[in-house]
Amino acid sequence: MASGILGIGISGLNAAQAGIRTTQNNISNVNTAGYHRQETVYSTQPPSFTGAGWFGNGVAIESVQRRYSQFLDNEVLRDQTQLSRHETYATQATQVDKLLSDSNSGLSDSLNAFFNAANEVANDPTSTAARQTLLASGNNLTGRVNNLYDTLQQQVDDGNKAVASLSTQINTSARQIATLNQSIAQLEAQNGQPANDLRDQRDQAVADLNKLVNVNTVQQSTGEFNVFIGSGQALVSGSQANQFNAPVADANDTFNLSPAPLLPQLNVSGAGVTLGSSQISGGELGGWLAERDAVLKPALAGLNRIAVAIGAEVNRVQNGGAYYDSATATMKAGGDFFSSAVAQTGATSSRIGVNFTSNSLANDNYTATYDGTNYTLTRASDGASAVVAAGTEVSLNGVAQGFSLSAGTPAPAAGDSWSLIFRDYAHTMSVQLSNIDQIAAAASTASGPGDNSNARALAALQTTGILDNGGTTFSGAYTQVVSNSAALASEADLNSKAFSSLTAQAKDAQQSVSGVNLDEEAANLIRFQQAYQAAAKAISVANTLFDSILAIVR
Amino acid sequence: MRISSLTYFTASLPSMQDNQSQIARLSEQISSGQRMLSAKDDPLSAEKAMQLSSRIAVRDQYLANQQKAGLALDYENTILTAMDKTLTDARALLTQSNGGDTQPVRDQHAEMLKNMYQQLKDLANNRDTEGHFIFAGFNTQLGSANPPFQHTQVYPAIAASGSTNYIGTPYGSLTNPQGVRSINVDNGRSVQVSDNLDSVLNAGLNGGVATGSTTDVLQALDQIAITLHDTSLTTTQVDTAVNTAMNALTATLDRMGGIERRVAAATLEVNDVKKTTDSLQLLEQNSLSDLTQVDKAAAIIEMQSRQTSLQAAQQAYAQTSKLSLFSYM
Repeated sequence: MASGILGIGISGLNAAQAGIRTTQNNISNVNTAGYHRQETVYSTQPPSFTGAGWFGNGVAIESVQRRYSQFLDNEVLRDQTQLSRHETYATQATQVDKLLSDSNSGLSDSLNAFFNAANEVANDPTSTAARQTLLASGNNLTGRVNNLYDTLQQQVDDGNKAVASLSTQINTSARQIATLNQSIAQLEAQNGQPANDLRDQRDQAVADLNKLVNVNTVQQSTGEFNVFIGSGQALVSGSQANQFNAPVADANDTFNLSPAPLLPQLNVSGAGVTLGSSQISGGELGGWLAERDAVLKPALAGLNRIAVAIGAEVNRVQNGGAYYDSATATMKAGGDFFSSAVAQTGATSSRIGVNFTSNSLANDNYTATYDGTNYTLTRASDGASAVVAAGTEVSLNGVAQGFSLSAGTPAPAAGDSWSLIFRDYAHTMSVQLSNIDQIAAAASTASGPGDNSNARALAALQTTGILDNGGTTFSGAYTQVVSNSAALASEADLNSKAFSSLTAQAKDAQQSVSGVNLDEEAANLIRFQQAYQAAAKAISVANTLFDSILAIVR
Repeated sequence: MRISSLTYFTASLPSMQDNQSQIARLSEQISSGQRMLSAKDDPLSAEKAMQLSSRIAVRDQYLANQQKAGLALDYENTILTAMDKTLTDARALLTQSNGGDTQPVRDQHAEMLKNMYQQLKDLANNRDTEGHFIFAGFNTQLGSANPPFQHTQVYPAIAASGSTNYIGTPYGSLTNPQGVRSINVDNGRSVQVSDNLDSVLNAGLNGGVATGSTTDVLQALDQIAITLHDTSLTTTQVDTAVNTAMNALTATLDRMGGIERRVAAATLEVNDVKKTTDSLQLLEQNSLSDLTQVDKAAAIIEMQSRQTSLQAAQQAYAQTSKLSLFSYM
């Protein structure tokens, strides 16, 4: 009975010590990411039966459990992955927006400057200064176009690097989770107690992974997590982790961009599963893919379309005019101002026109051959071809290419052919003229150097609807490109703000259950300290009982 | 509700960060004067602002074109007025001349007509500041030794005067029949800023009003000076010659009047278009600044209120972070 008294006291001491230990652990981990506060769970020892009834035998330490709410933790994960996505999206879209809308890097100013210079040549066709300004502003315009396009291409490249780097990070994270799965399953099977700290580590690993790419987790009865990605592909199942291959080129890129945009590819039991922005909807990876599809690709395509339109139209006007060659003192027929977007091949003297529809202009090269009635268009990248009449939009394999041909002038002969050089024209566009004499300001070789009619026609291109079937000017089309990226960047900003506050709220809710409160721990510390003191006192009482008995014997 | 220490300590952080970023943004707005720092700040307004800026840039150029057109027309008008005056003076002189004048009077008139002939020829061969003959049509490449209206003065020798040779853009030779220049003064609107005097001074030769040397005004002026100088002619012969010369001058003045009226109308048109362009541009510039300029007073007030709430957040943090149960143990 006496050992019972001591035993009960000792169980109290142990229990209080365990409580203090857990409290200390909580205090120490107040700033540990992913830590869930722990609690010591107590129960009563099995009581002893006497004739007088059941006597308690002290306290037993049942377990140490972490305060974890799967619902709240999942809520954080869900909001966090969207926050990462929208933040990444917003950062990238903001870059595009700044680039396009800034007056120092955007196209508007140099476009206006070019046409203002054309007006000055029209006002004074024999002025060397005006001609020099036009040539210089042409160089400036192509420089701007090249620079904008190259910077956007650079962003595609940045995106490709990010996809590759994220694939590698996801692989590491997946392996880590698989390893933790294995340890947790083993430890919990051996001891029958929850492996709190390993579970915390794994939850944190999942949270980190979830910032990279949105994942779904399903807990198994063994305590292992299965992690799914994309449209249900297993990334981690138990102790097995699937790995991402090196990113692969997007086979269905309708924009046919260069550099080719890369997509992540998951190796599921030896078979490569390519995941696009429709499958990966969250995390940094989702942000990169979505921004590239919605902002970057249309910006590149839109810019190239404007560049092709400027090149084709300015060259068309210039080729229709004439200039005074001061070296030979004769009038000569005008030539290309910018590098050709539409070039004659072979001996034809006929020039073919290109009209731009409201569809996005495909980023490709074509050859057009006249058969006496219609034109046969053949795409360079895959050889797809179609026969079209002048004025009908070219469509290959059911995809509208964004342009139609207008009948050549003078009328072409059967067999005449031309090449359309649209692919990355904005990257290669340059001024073709070297001599200011060659600016064709005059209408025809029959007139003289003072004729400004063709320069007026050139200047009038600024206010002429050319794109969208003649409904949109060059600057109008550029405004469309800018507003598309601006609207999406602004939306991404709003979304990241929204998800930032949602994530904060979810974290607060999760922390209210699982976070450490130092004041609470301080109170616990005192509670357990007092419990310890009381238990010690009980032992001391038991001790005096012994002493009394021993004194009787003595 | 239970609150974790982490939440407790970081609660005022978002508010501080938000206030700080807003203050940074406001000061950038105030210093740049721009409401939108990039298009994403207000995509709709940014789109409108870009359209307006483009339109303003185009109108700027139209204003420059209008100024250029106005200058060219004014210049031409000055020359035409001088030519008109010379022709009128010559006609006035001839109304006083007749076969009955004594030879010294006739010689004096002949000498005056010689000067008027010279003046008219110089005016017709006038060159602009760049050295281009203004009445040579598109043939601006002609050198100074090669004026468009070429006529060799025979006076004071007694012989028949030859006809004028015109080497500018010939009237009717091009699809633009007069070889005259126009300037774009508005979208789809252009104004003719030069004229072809081939049809005025030399109409007999190239598709003009009538045929015969009498319409060649330089030849006619030279010829009448020779006639007045010629002592061998009878009174009747001189009178007939004076009449012929007067007819030529009157016909030339008529045609000149047509050109002068055209120039006057074109000048009016340019001024008219300029007024419209000016007021439209003003409207567009106002809308543009409404769209893009920051309301500085409002921005400064907001900045101050942001500063106040930032201070409040900082103070709240400083106060609450001191509180801990451990301090009392």
